Amino acid sequence: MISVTSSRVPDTEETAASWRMGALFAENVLAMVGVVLLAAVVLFCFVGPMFYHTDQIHTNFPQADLAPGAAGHLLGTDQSGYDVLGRLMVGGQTSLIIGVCAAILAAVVGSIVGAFAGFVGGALDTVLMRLVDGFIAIPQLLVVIVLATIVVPTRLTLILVIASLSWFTTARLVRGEALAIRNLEYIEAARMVGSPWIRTISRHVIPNAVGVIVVSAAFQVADAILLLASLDFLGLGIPPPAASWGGMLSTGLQYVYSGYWWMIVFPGAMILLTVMTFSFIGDGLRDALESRLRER
Amino acid sequence: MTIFLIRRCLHGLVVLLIVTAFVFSLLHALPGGPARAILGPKANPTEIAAFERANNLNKPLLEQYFLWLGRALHGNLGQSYNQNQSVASLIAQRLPKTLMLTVLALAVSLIVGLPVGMLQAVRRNGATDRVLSVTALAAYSAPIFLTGILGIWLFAVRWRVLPAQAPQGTSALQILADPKALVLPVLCLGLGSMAAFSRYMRSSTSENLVQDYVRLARAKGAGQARILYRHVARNALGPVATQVGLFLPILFAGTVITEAVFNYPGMGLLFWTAAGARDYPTELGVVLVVGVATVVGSLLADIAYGVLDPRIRQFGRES
Amino acid sequence: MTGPLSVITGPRARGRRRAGLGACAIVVATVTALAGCSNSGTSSVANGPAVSGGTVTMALPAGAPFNYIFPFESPQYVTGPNVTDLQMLMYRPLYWWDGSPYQLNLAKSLAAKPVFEDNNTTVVLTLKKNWKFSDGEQLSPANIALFLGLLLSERTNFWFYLPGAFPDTLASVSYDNSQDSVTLHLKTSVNPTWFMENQLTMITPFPTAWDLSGPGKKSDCESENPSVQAKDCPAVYKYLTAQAADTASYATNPLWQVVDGPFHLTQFQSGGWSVTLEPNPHYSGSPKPRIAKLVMDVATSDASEYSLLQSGSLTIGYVPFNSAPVKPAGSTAPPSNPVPGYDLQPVTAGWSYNDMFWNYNNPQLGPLLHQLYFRQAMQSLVDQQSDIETALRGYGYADYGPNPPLPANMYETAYEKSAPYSFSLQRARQYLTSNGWKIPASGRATCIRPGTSAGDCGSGIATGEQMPALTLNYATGSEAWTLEVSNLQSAASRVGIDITPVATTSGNLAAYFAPCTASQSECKWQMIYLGTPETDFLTFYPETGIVFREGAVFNVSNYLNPTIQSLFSQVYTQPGNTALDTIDNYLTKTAALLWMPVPDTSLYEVNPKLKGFTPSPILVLEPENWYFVKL
Repeated sequence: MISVTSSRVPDTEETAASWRMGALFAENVLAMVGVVLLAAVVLFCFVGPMFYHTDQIHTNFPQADLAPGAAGHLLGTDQSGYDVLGRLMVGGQTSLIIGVCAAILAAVVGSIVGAFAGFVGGALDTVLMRLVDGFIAIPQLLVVIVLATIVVPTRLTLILVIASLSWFTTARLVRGEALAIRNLEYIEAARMVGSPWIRTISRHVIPNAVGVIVVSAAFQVADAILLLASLDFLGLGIPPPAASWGGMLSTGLQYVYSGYWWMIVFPGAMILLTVMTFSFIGDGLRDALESRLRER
Repeated sequence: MTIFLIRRCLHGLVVLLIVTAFVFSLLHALPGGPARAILGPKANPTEIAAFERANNLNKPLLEQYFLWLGRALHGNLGQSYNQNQSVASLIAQRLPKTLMLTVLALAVSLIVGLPVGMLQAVRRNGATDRVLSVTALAAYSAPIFLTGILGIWLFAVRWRVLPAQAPQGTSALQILADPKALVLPVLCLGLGSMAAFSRYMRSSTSENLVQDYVRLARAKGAGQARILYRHVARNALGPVATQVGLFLPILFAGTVITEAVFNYPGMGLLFWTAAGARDYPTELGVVLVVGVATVVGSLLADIAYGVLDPRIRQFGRES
Repeated sequence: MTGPLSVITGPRARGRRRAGLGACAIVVATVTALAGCSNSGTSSVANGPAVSGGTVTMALPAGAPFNYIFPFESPQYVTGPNVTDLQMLMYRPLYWWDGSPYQLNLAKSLAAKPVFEDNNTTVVLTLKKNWKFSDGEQLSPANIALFLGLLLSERTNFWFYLPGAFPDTLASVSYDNSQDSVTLHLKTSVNPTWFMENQLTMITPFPTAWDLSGPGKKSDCESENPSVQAKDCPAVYKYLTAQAADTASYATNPLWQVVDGPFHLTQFQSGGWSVTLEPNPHYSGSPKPRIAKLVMDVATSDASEYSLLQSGSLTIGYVPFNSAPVKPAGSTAPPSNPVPGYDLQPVTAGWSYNDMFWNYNNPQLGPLLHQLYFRQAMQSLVDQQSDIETALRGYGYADYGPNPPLPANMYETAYEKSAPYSFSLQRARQYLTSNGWKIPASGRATCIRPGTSAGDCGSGIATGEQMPALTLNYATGSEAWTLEVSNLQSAASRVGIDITPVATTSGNLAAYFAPCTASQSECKWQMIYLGTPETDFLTFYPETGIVFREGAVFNVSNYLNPTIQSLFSQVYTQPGNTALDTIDNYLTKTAALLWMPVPDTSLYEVNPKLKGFTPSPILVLEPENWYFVKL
């Protein structure tokens, strides 16, 4: 996914390195724009409904298909009469929650697996990495489709499904980091002294790899949101009346010939905006990481 | 180099075994079994039992897997439960179509993405770079079904300059004979990778531009263009080449949606309809073939990397 | 009347309904059906002179592609494309039905109306004279014999067959070659209407060119001697099935080119997504097809089909209901034509009823379900009008009993039409409260008067026992069904009934579909909703026994009622509809299943240059009636 040169940072400087990365990140204009936009989106989705009340559960048929501005609906209504603006807020909650939780879960699992594989090495490493390679070779969407024909799609099951197919790249990256520091003197010293693996991994490997993990996680949120949209298009997402951007968009596209542009433009814009935001942030993090490495 | 190749091939085989075993167990863990789903609600218990016997569905899972594997190695991927065709022939019909679509999309994304990436690296952090970055990200962030359906609406219905569906021919020549119909599907499929490759190329080229050998070349008086094309490009392409291999599964996932939107009966759609109909043999066959394609693709990409970067050939890539 | 014809579950079952011809009444065709029914779509241009020739490109709803050509298939290959859109155009069944809701079209049939004799135990089929197959063979009893021979030895492999029905009821067959007639001797008397409409429809005369047990190896499955048939037919079946397994050869294999219908296959695109048919020059019937080519494409998705229609690439296409404008109640068309430049056809109502199944043998739900008042209450909770307006966007009609409400027919009883349990929260509440239940302001109802006398909860329900929490598994794939079940859930919650809808994929739903006993693990399901019914083709008589008779294959609800059990046999053996009407009224009165609104089948758009197309409630396709005009 990304090519990152390894970082070799001894113990005391690891925290300093993370701070440095943060500082470099803050200097990046696009990245900061991303952060601001993300904050705006989060506020919109989670705080918005507290001020802008709409009923997103019960259909309101006489008010369906209204253009923006009609009858107090700023962005119009959709085919079931739901207010589009309100639905964007509620739908965003689903997309964000699933995306972020899946990315975090994938990051955690991937880091642990990758750290162990890289650090312990040997047979464990080979076996784990072959497994990881195997799963990377399967297109995510195929497995998700199969899983979706078994499980009932809820927020939790979707988080689990997406996370279970996303941790591989993180694992590879963290493994790379672990390999890099495994041979450093102070790490070898710790091993000889008998320091337990877990301690070394959690105190040295993972903190060293934080940069890589965070970058990977940011992109995974973006990918998760896109994957959710695809699932909604295929009819495998969370069923209505639950709202989701992908669901709004794919339903809106059914009316592309009817001229109801607001059902397409607004959810499409939200997806685009949010995915781009996470990508900006990811890019910024990656640039910061690489700059920090170059500085050494 | 040969050892490198052999190792990668073995690696690939192991990967394939894991992939197929995983999907096999996943499919057979489904409750209810395929018999009822395929034969329909009117099937009586005798018909169901006969179906299960005929398809080895009452044997233990491991045994079923090895039976399947054995047959697969002989080229027999079983019979599709609901398409009245052998899985192998179904795949033989559909694979070329999806391959064609994928290869074209890949080619377009490389042809456009790589030069754009290099341009961005050269003008790093300037206005061009920023604009192109944002455009690339926008392209990557748009779901395929959005660009696809909007594209059809605009070009096929509103302006009537392109057909509303992908070429419907069955052979490669027939498909290529209808290039206008290929424009939209290929673009939609390739848009995301185009953006991604431009990103990789940008960062790879940037890394190379600050290397010593570039400074040396400049000191020797070589022009910018010459430096770029003779030295930097070759080195920068290496890491990007390995990404190509990783992008194959992503492109393939994209074909599921692209084929649905553009009415193109390829492997993606085959998998999608098979999944809906609980057609296990077909699903497994597709996974196997896609796995093989990815492994082969990665192998080719790694070879390309080796060709481009002699250091890799000698010391092997950290796998 | 969910007939024995079950389309495989899967993408096709995801709410895709099939279409055919004419919602408007077609006059019972006597001699010529030349003009068919002039389409009542919004034709903006006057008709010009008819021309012969032209290519019709027709889109079929998204689903399984064409994949079986031999008209003797097992259940998994029975799909609209295969049977009504391909096989029936090439290999004519003995009797042809079209019209609205359905009528016997003797002009297009291959035999005279069947004659019932000997107290309805004998059926005489007199074949049409001078009906030829494309290889020159004239229709004769041998063609029927070939079909019957295969049916007798391979009945369990034929989708139409149900244990206990034809040919289990066949005692013997006699053939009269001089009179060109075939006489079926049945073991018991039959109801002639039922037999003609639901059993004889399975007969397709096969060309004797198909009587082969190997390439060029003539066999004698067409023999009139049953023991010879028993010996030869299995091998013939095996050979023909093997030939049918090779889809790539469909257009070239000479076997399949022996046709007696108006069309023959000229191109079968590999994968079966598109077939091309051309007129059969040796067609004996009339009208003779006037178009030069018929290309039928199975859509891979509604979205792509609709794009094709909008871009003008189709002659006949359908508007997916999800993309259509809302239809006002009572009208047959949406207020505006979503595809300008095309003739919008009136909405088609398919020949079926719609319901939710519930499990009488489920341990938790069973005791309650056996109480009439509970079922009456439940039926009163279904707001059909609201469902039609909201969930179906106007494309549907109400259904209160086991007969198809539309197109207008003689089977729907007056009692059914009176909608005995139309939506009323108040009445639902009353049914429960006057039978021993206390309904709190929120939460589940509790039984305060257990016992078995009038006004008590009923046997099997204890004091203070709460209404069980019910699980309703419903099909994914359409927002319409999700809305319908959530409407029911919210209405039920107002009277203390707690229903939890669970979206279930059709594959998993199919797994539930079998009769079961209370102790079996398969009996855990409580309520199932498939969303759309399957429109019957080839079984028209709404005999209901197939769902409600004890032990019937389709009796997935485990419905058992001694009162009407004995009446079922009358439906099959006695002429007339009295027994059937009694059963229908009883089922309606006792709310045997939860009836739901029936969604419309399809909304067709036709290129104004093509005339003669009429959608059919029984999914019949008659391209020989179509012709282009010069505009």
